[in-house]
Amino acid sequence: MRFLITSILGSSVFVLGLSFFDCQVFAEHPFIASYERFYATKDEPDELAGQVLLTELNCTACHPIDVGLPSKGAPVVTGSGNRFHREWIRSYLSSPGQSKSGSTMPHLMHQLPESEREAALSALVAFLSTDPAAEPPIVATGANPVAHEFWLKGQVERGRSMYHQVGCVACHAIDEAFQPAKKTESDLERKIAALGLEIDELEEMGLAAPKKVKPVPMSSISDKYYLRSLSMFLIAPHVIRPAGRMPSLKLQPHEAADIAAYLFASATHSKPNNHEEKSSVNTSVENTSVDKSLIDAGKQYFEQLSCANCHPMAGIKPKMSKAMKELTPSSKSNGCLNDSSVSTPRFGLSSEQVADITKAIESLKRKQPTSDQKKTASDQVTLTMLQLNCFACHERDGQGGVGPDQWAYFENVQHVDIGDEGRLPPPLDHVGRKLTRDWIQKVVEGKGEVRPHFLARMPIYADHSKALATAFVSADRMESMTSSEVKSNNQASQAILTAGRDLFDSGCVQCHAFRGESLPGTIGIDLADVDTRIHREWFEAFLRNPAGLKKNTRMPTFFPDGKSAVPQILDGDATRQIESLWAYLNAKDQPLPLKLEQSSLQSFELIPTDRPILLRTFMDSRSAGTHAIVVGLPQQIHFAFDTKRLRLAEIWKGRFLNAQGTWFDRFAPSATPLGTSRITLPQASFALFDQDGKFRLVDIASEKQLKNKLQKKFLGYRVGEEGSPVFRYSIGRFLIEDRIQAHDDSGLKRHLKILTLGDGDLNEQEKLWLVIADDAIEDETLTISTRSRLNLRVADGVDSRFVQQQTATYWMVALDDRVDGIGVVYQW
Amino acid sequence: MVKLKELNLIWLALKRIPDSLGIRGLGLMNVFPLFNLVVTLIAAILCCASPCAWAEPAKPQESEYYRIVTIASSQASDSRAKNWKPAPDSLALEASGLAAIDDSRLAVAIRKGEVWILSNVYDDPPSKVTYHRFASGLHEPLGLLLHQGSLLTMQRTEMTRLIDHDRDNICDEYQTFASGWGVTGNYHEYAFGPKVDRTGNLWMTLNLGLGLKNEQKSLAITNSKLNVTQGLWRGWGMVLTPDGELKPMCAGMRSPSGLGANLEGDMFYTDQQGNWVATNSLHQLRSGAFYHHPDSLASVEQPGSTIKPIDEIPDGVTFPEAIKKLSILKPPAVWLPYKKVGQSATDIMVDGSDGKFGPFAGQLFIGEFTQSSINRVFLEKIDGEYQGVCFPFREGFASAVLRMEQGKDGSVFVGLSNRGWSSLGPASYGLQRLVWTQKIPFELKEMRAQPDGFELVFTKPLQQDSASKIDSYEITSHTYRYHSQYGSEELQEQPHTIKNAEVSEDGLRVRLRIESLRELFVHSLNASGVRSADGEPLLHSNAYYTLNKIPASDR
Repeated sequence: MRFLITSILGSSVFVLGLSFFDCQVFAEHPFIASYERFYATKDEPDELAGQVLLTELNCTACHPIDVGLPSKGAPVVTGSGNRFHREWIRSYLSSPGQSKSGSTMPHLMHQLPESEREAALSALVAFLSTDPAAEPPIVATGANPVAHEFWLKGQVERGRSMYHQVGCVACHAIDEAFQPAKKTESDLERKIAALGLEIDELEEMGLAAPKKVKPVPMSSISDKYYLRSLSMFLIAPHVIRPAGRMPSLKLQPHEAADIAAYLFASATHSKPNNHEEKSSVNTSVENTSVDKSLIDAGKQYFEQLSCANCHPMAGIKPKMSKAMKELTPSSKSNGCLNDSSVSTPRFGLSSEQVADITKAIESLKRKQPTSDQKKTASDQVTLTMLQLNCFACHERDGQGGVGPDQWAYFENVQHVDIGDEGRLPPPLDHVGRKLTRDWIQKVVEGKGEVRPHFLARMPIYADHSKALATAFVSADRMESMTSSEVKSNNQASQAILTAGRDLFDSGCVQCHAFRGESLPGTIGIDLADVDTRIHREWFEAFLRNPAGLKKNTRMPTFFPDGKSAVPQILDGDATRQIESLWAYLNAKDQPLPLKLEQSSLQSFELIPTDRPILLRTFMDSRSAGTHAIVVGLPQQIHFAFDTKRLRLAEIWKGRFLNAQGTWFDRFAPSATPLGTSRITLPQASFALFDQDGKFRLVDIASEKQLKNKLQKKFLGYRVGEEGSPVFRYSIGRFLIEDRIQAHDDSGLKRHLKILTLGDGDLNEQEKLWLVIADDAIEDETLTISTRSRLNLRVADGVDSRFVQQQTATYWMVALDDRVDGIGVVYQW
Repeated sequence: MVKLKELNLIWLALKRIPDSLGIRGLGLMNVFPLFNLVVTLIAAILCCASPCAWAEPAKPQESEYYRIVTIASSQASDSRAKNWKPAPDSLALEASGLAAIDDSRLAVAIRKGEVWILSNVYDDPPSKVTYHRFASGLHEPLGLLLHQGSLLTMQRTEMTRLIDHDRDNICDEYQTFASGWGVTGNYHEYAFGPKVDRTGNLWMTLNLGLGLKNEQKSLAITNSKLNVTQGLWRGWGMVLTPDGELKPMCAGMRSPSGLGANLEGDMFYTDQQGNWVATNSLHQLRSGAFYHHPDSLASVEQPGSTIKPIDEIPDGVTFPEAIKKLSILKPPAVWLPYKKVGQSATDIMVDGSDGKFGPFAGQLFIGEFTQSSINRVFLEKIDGEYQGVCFPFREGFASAVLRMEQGKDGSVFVGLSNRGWSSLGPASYGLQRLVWTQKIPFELKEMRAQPDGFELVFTKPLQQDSASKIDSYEITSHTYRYHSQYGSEELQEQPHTIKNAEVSEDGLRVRLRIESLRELFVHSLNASGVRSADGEPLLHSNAYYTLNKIPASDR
């Protein structure tokens, strides 16, 4: 595959013959990312470094300890035969450190007599291949596309991009063949460049330079995995490696397949058919029948070599060794720390690692319980961040953060330069003061997405979320917080809320989103419901002095010297302004900030200029209902027509309509007029007098009874030269053409052209009445006004009538074969 | 291009040299990058110099046979975002209806409610395509049909004929062609169609509403016996007859987002997995049939209903049992097994190009939303009822495949839009064209039921050895559960013993004799061992036959 890639890339064979994984430095000793970064080259032994080694090398899995240094544990090995090539399992067991550079799995086979080792390997491989338990199936849903045998469908180039964008390279090697879409300088690079220097030169000058980060080595991927098992592993690493050191990056199946294809293409194959996969799911298990006695022997070796101490296995109990306290690491017979010992696991530790472990054990023995809870929590945070390698991405108290070689691979979706904040994972300084415990937990669980513009993803560390969140909060908590913890102020007055909205408009809107809306080209954290994430105390402190809490932030100071930059709002009172902003951000029922509202409307507000605009949509049932046609006229006079009930339903003036919901909202919300002077017209458009002369509205209630007699049918509309529609509909024996136009720039004129279907004169019962108003104030016969402040006029010679029924006063005109047209003018 | 596998073999041969000398183990490649480089170079030279005839051909790729030409596509945005927006400053070409007009123009309905006429759409590359708005102000049109000289489209509330009286290429009459079904205002009440059948009937299908709010319920009908509430005729297929009469025809649909006729003019629809719908399915539309979802029976007592009211719906039985217990229930002509043949079926298109679109003339093509692909169906009639088989066909479209329309040259226009749900691919919407490269893929063309097995028909002559070996084939069968829950797993799966595989004289057919076929079960075939006479493996080796009936005699 490598050849294929090289020819695609069309670069020199000399360079590309090397896969980037070949170029990784081979680690001679166990590789633990944070240890390598912070401690491997330190001169003095370090207790914390030793503690990290004790958990990460699983020392405490065999040597019990009474203070909290739980061993990280090791991968689940049941079902290994389903996931890994058996030859790889064999070669790995025979020499883990040589099979995988920097492996933390100790060499164990040397504890067996040499003559027995080959047989033991065969037995162990047989045993580990017995349980064919496949990974849990990937559940496909409408939200989760899972193509059939998706693991065979990965694309190398897509995988290469994904690998370098979602965060893999925070820990693993960078492939020089990949070019980031746009090289964005980090803040530090910018500063160094301003001095006319390059990063490499800093150290030569004796300055503290950001240190390069060594990549975490990988196994020979294609010798070890099948595409299927690698894809499954990338989707849900915790299933196989519950320790969570390799976290889930929330990859969708096709994304995992792409990365798997890329890793396979980049790997050095030692076998011809390693990436050959059978297409059927079950056949990736090599269904060779294995001798039962060999399996049993394997199980015995598994037990004998204490494998179960790190790899939990049903039916095998861990065998504990001497307690940590009883160990004498400085003595000559120092067991695991001494690679020449034949009776203990052989880790191949570096001398620095031995020294650090020794120091940690010695201090553990002397350790006194401390009452400084804050310090304990702080130590706990640091230890966890070292163990999980949070430092690969996040800086805290001057330690860690994305390494200099990796900077360029952290990008945002639009490659907008908004500083390190806009693309690098946030520093975690005083994060327990800033964020609520629940929110930290959510973020650590991978569910707190506030930076959707980042290409890199926050991984999932579900098992550590609760403890880590609690530790952050205890470590960073301010004494003053308890008293000032105020949730959003529900009683905030409308004036305060409005002030908050205006303040958002005056500043925040330039960089921040709100309820999913943002100004064009702007990317930034959405500030809606900020109280679900951030403490009020931190919010205020940050607003008053952003740089005080976040060095190099691009968040400007809106309150220089404690004084508001916007004196016209709330008398420029900083405290009240911050309070109002807080209240507004957390309020549910407030309108969007004006600028966002306008920007959103700019794309979706329908503004009739030279021709009418017509749109079918859903409206509220009091207006034109589910069968609405709304028409906006250039005179800024508009109406909604209900094509089901054949009624002019609502009229209004000013602004017409926001079409976003109708055009693009999946949930098809009712459209609401934007304008003013909205008037709802009668619910029933037609009425008749039955045989007893009784007045009856043709409304929903009477429709069923009258159905046959007065069937209603909307027939469509024609658009005239100037763009206004002429509706055509029939009701009973009448065929009507209904044209509604602007009148004198201040109202509407409606003209109904009436054709009777069938022959003969209509008797009184067959006459239909067009109901024009239901809140008429009786005036004259041809001109009336209504309680809704509408002035209505019909032409001479029309038979009009008032009918009083309950609280309504209907005003209507007769449709019969004597008139061929009725004109009605609406003015308001 | 040099074949991957050949290179690997040479690569290995070279790599083994040091290994055989016993230097193995130290991660040689890691330690000596230079070695790697030299080997690479030698391998590359060797391969260029001598064609490696002994190696197997590389795995065939769909793109060698069917090429995707992108006419328009957008950047992707979160398809489920509440305030979804199209890409700025561009036409939101969420293609929801396609109608080929002539050998240059294509009419495209888009979801925001417009119809556009695109010209020069057959250009390759499509660099001179022009766009012209023909109609606007429509409510989520989800179909487009050129019918008797004008375009028909389906809005949420009506079927509309778009007439251009003055021939200025802008619609000036929006004529209500059919209306009257229930619309309560629920977002899920989509209306699809129209498509015309043999008799000139215009068919449409109506989605069920989902989660009706109280105000919406007041506009709906309740069948209290079955405790179901829906708008009038929701979940039904309806026809508008040539006389202009709108008639309900068949019920039980959940989300019938695609319709299409076969060459005989019989009409079909697809349904999508969900409550009561075990997996996506293809059905023949005809009077009196009931397919899946009981909610549609809210309208069963309304005047015009073609289905007799029933008292009870069995919930939680296997599909074959449900067929026995519920006489109105008709099995689908084809089940499309979930994930294997898509996750949400959409449009249906018959290849009526008589060979211009490749070797599948007369077969049906089914759009696939979530996986952004197209599947293929072969149907046959057993005792007067359609049943048949589905195959994967082509994946890799830029977004959800919502609509397909065969162009005048046999190529297929593919309308894309994934808003509201999710799909594979880099785009949110767009228009692509699938063009046959004139190369015949090695595919299972047909799979036909026989009394004792199946007859397979291939697109190319077979290699006798592999095709007559029973190990080249695997067959399992399964069924589904009929229940109110969402989807169903595959039930009662069981492998079948293949007794023999007999290759026909012309080398294009294989007769598989199989033990204990099961009626009303889906029979899944994997013919991964079969090779063409040229030694090619199948482009797609899987096929899924819905065996509603085992034929009584050889055909």
